[in-house]
Amino acid sequence: MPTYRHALDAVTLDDVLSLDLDSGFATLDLTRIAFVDAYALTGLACFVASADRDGLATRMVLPEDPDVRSWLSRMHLGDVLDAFGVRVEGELPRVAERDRRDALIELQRFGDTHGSDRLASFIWERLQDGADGEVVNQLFEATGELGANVVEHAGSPSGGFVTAQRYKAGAPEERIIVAVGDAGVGIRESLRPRYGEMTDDAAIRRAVQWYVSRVPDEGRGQGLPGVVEGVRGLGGTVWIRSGVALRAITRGRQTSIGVSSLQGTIVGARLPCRPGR
Amino acid sequence: MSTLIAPKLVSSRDQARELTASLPDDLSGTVVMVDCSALQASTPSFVDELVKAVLVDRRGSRLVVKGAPERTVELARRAAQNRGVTDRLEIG
Repeated sequence: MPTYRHALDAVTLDDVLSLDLDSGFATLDLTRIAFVDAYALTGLACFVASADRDGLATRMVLPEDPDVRSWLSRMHLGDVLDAFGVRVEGELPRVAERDRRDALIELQRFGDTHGSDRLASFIWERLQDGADGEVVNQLFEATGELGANVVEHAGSPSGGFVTAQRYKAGAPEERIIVAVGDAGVGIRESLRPRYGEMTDDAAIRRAVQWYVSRVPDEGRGQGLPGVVEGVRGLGGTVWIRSGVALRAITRGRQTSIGVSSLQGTIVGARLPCRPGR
Repeated sequence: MSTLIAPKLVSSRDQARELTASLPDDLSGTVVMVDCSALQASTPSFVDELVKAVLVDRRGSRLVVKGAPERTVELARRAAQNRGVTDRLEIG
């Protein structure tokens, strides 16, 4: 029996992505993948949308591991693959959906603030019994703010994507990951008209500072820094990926990681369900 | 006094604009009370836009935020400070 060890998350997402610009193909090869977290699932959707925007044909090789295929099906990845005409190698099985409603927020797409408002409320309602109130409220704030950022600033023709999942239910390390992403212009391009040229990593560092916004209004620029402050305050981690930069931010430190280029932005947060216990 | 009722969950600036859309363009001399007794969670953007719509754009004489969760009160105070209208914000 084969063993699958490769986990797909914010840092390892690049491992399954390849672009062949000469032949006009983008490939997402999940063959050996044993686990996909909510950030990576949002990322897969963003890469599919980004390739579509670039006029590339996309091919996805599904995991050999049947459990991972079932999870991808349960999380509605198939809807995104269908919407963007992705050529799929392998088959997503049909799975029952009546279970785990309090632990899974399936991959969903939104195109306006009504959509992101609805998703933020949906996450609050679905997860409110699975975590402390301050955690659920922080997830609500994060989803609402990040979703609004996509609609207002990303210029993403395909809108945005959201996924969330609660892991290790009942265990001390129980946690929730929520991720919001898009295939828009990216943070650097969004800030450039007001703040000038900078690298992708510098743009991310700038965007997490208070009151930095492409909109010159004194109350703007609270969304992303508020998410970072709130998540860090609860002992969580934020990942921000845009262009060729990925930055992981926790309470004590920030880590910069070079990645392949993404047209757009993916922001994810991991929070303990019961901080301090 | 004009009274608005905040729903259970509010997030985007558009939601704040929709909540205040029925108010007149000029609120000089008018107190606006937002009843937040049903409110469970809000975002910084929603609260900032609410303060802006009532106290900055429409020049309301006072904004009373009544029965709001602690976090929403904190956000309202921050928004009023950013926009220089703390003297016209009242927490009830």
